[in-house]
Amino acid sequence: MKRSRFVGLLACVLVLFAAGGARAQEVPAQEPGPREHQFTFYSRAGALAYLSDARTTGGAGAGVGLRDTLHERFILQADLSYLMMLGNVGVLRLGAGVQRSGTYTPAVLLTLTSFFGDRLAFLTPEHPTPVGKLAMALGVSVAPLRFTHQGLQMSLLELGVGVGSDLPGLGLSYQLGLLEVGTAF
Amino acid sequence: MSASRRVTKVGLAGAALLGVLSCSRPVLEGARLEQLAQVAAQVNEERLMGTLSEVVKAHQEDTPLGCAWLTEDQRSRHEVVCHLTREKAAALLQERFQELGLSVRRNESATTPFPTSNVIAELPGVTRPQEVVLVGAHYDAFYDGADDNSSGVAALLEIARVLSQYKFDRTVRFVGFDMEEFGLVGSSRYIGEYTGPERIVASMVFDCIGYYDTQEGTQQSLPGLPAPSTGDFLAVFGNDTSSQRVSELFALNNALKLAKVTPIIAPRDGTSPLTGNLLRSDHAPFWLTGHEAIFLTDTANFRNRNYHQPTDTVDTLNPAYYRRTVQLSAATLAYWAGGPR
Repeated sequence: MKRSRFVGLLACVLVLFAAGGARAQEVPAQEPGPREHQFTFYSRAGALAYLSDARTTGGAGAGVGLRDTLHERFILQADLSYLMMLGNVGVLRLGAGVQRSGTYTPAVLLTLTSFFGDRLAFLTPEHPTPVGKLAMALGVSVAPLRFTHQGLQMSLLELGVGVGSDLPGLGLSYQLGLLEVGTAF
Repeated sequence: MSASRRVTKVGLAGAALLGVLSCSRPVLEGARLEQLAQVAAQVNEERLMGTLSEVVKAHQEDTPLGCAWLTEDQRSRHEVVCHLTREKAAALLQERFQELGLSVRRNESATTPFPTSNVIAELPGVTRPQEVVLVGAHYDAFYDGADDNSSGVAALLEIARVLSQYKFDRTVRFVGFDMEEFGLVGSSRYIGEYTGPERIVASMVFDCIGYYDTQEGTQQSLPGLPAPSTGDFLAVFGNDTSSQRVSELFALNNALKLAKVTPIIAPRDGTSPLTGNLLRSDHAPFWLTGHEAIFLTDTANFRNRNYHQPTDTVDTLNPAYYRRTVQLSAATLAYWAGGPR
């Protein structure tokens, strides 16, 4: 039941964007060219995790961010999220990347993600005392179902991986964005 | 290798470790590693297993608490509840503590439906008696309860025997908690009623510490907990408040080379959704009230198929690994207590 509702909702969203795109094509080519800077305020929900031999942190939650889209192509963004499930975890994510122009705007981002706050800590010979409460990861994320129309942006899926900072040893970060909605100003 | 040489070697290893650690954080500041190694060496495997068998026998000869308060349907689904015994194990604990010359008292509560009687013994501190180092294990058990938790009770008695041969700056308190299996009842009441000028500076809780399996694939875990795949390690759980105590135990173990230890530190009081399983024993009331406590376990049902079954018997345990766990615990408690003197 829930699945069919979700599929229906997804279909509606795609139809709306397609219709919007069609109307946009009907407008005479009087519109100005791509804006140099298009700022978007967005909110997002999903899950992030950081796993290493020395810690596990992350969880599920939501956040807000600010994005600057340059010439409808290049992206610079920063967002701050709050995650639950493993105590109180904050995530600050900086991203830079590219997107496709038009209505269907899938994007790829290079991200620098910092996790701070609560974590499960593990003691190992390399980490005989608990690691600090800040972990950082450099990674890449893709948003294949991302749409932009008349100042509205929506992304239904974002997947990301990264490599972390718990040296010695390897830390990996994982990201699953479920929904992101933004509005330009 | 002679005992004195072994002790010297341990001392050198410990000194080297201290040298390394001193560059970062003074985890084992002031530790007298040679004496702590001697404390650990006092733990006797044969005696330990003998005590464990006596605790199991006490459960076997006891009359179960009864489960008339359950409906028939509940009884059929939770049959294990009808096999909880406790009184004879409590009597054994009390008797053994008294034989060691420790002062013993009962912390009684008549609150229904589960009246409780925690058994408390003390080794008074010499210079800082108001500072208490507590070590506890629940003495109620389902069926024979060899691993759960006769292993913890026997460890408590063996450590009491060893430590009572020494003097310590701080008071060492041994507590047999009642009715853990029905929801940490005894330990919750103990810490809930805890008052006075004294202060618990560190606590260690045993629950299921005798089952080890060196075969690959014998250990299960939870998402986010990177446990080894062989069930041959001792899990040590702390929280943010007690993280220093976990680090100290880990450093002592590295210095004395006693056991394979996996230390895990939960955030805050351990109550987040993903860490609920870390709260499943008598340390939880300590965490929830802001007290330092670490929890030692073989991870129970994540490794031991006999957990809460009639098959939780003495022959399923691993005496050598169990002894090492008790040795590490004895040395750690001695260090926390500021000794041995």
